[in-house]
Amino acid sequence: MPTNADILNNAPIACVLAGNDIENGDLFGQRIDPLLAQKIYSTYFVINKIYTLDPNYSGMNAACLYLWELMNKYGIRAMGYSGSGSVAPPTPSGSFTYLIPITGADFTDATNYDNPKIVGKILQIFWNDINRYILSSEYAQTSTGINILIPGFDATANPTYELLIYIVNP
Amino acid sequence: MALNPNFTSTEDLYSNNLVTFNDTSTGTDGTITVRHISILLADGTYLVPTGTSTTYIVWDYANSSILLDLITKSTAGTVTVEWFADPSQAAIYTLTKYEEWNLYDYVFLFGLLGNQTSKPIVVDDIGYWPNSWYMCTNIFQAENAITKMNDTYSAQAALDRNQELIDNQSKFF
Repeated sequence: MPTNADILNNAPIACVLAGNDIENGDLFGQRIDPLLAQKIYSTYFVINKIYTLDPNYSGMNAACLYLWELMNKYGIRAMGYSGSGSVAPPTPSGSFTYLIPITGADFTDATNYDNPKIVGKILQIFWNDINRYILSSEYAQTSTGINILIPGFDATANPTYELLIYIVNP
Repeated sequence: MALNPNFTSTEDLYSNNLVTFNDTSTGTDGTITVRHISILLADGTYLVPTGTSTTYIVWDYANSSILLDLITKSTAGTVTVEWFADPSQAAIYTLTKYEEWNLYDYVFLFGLLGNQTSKPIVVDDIGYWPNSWYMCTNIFQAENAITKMNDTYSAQAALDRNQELIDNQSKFF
């Protein structure tokens, strides 16, 4: 979907293209609203004024989409002239962290590991030393990280423990 | 150094009755103490905020801008700002501009578009498009009457034609 700015940039061109098509349509018997160019222009005239003063004016997006519908195929064609209106793929605002390898030395005490990146996330934790994912009942998420509940787990005494924390929803 | 007098006026998009005047003069003149704003309308009367007993608005020189509750409909006028050292004497500087505040009309038309996007059956009758074009054309005429012709009479006439539609919108849209 084009942005409001793209719609408004292309509306004047769409108005011209609609006018041309209406004229040619008369020749070839196309079914085109003979007043479409006027409708595009008057709608653009009003929206563009308000948009210039405040692009975030209440109802702006709905109004621009209404204009886009009026522009119809001429809106797409207009983009060919203006070069605007390309759709940019979404790009992440920062790098994702979805796998955090840790050792016993990273724990704050015998069972607690703190890291703000895993707070509130859905996790899967693999413990290399026992070669399996630990069960959801074997750890608890805390306000600062995780607390391992497996009996006998002692990261302080075993700083060489190796665990892999997978963040399911980074 | 003398003052090179100038000013702008801006209508508020959200409260169309409010108009802000800004003093955009360059240079300095230490003798100036106060400004007066006079707004002559097309019907020969002066526009002032409610409760003002003079035909002008006093604008303290200490304030570079002044916000006025000024209009109740789209309005065109001949605006004269005078800069005084002593308001009982003649003005030291005077500047006149032809101004138009037309956001009442634009906001009304934008509101009609909002209705179109949400409940088109209500307004999508035979008069909607031609009357919208009529209003847009009147706005265009008013803008050009001011910017190209310094003609507040024609501008106000065009804006008043729109006001007729706004006041009787159920008949026209």
